[in-house]
Amino acid sequence: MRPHALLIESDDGPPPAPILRLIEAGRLRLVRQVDLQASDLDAANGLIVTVYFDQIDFAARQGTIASFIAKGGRMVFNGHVVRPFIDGMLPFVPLASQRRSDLTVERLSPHPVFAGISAEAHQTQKGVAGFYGRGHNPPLPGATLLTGIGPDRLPVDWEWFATGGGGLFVHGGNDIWGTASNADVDVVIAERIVDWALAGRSARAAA
Amino acid sequence: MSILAVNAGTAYQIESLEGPRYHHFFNRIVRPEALGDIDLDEYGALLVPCRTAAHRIMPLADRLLAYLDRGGTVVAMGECHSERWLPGISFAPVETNFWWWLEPGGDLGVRIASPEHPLFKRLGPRDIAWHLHGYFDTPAGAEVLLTDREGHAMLYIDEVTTRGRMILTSLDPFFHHGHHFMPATTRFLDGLLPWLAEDVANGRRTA
Repeated sequence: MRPHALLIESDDGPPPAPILRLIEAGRLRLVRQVDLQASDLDAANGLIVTVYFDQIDFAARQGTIASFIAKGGRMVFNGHVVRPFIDGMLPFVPLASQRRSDLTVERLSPHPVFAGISAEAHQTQKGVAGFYGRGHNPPLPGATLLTGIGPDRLPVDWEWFATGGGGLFVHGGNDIWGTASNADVDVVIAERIVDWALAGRSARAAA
Repeated sequence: MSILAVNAGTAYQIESLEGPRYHHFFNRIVRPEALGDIDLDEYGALLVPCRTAAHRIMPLADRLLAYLDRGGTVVAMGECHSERWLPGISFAPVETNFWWWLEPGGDLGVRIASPEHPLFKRLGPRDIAWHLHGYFDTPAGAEVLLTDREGHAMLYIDEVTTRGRMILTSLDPFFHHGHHFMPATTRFLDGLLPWLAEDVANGRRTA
């Protein structure tokens, strides 16, 4: 089986176009969350979950997820953490005020997922702000803060690595491949998110 | 009688069902798969919140139909493909216009079709409009409560298809409330849930 990341399908699908093309290319493997087995994780480099993710289920799989990350697996999380499933994770904190100016996003650190994509691309869709995020998931200690939201630049995106190359990319809003004002940007972000998810075990294997 | 609610474990469902604002309305909250092990007749209504994956409810369709035919009430909220697991539903999805309120004279077109219904002692025009996701073709004899601009049903009560009652809507207030945005959705739930609780407590079951 070629290197792939799992996309956990928690809704009824189908996945949106930017994701569908990556499934068709064999870089993503779609697995319904209700069918997910530990062996699926053993065979995957990465794991991607959406805002429809069943967090009660993953809270019950904490040991499996910890093992996956410890072995170099990378996980992309979209949405709000409500039931923390990794040691140290804390629940989502909504913005206290959600006026237009409170929803402005800003890049905080350079990152391959966002290379050449300004924060402007993620401010609005058809003039409406808030798709990118309306709060933040508190970062794990040692995380790199990638995108801030609001006047306090709260970390709506962050990245965290465990020893061994495994880690987390956390985006605290709608699925990140559906948040840009331009659909072409969504396609690029989807490809790069999958690149990121694939890299953990690949890097370890090459070492 | 009391309300049984389904929790599929998404962030917005956990927040809406377990959060302090609405938790007291639900006498019991269960995972979709647990519905098969519960005596549904102990509950006056079963509520399936917005964006519950239909593939997790469909295996229980026969059980829900039997409950309805014994006089039960099933409330199926928006975007949970109730047409796949309840009888007699004809649903047509529509593209979501999320920017309507930025347009001159912005009006989503949602209208109260049965102002005499007791629900509208608790809900007004400001509380029913955020997004359209689709509409229903209703069976003869159904009571339509909300319509879109063209007069299609967006919230209706069907007491003709089964011996019980189905309360069906294409609105998705649990999703937005549980994701901490769209105040109209919170106001909608502030009206819907007390009405439902009162209705169920009054022993609405008739079969």
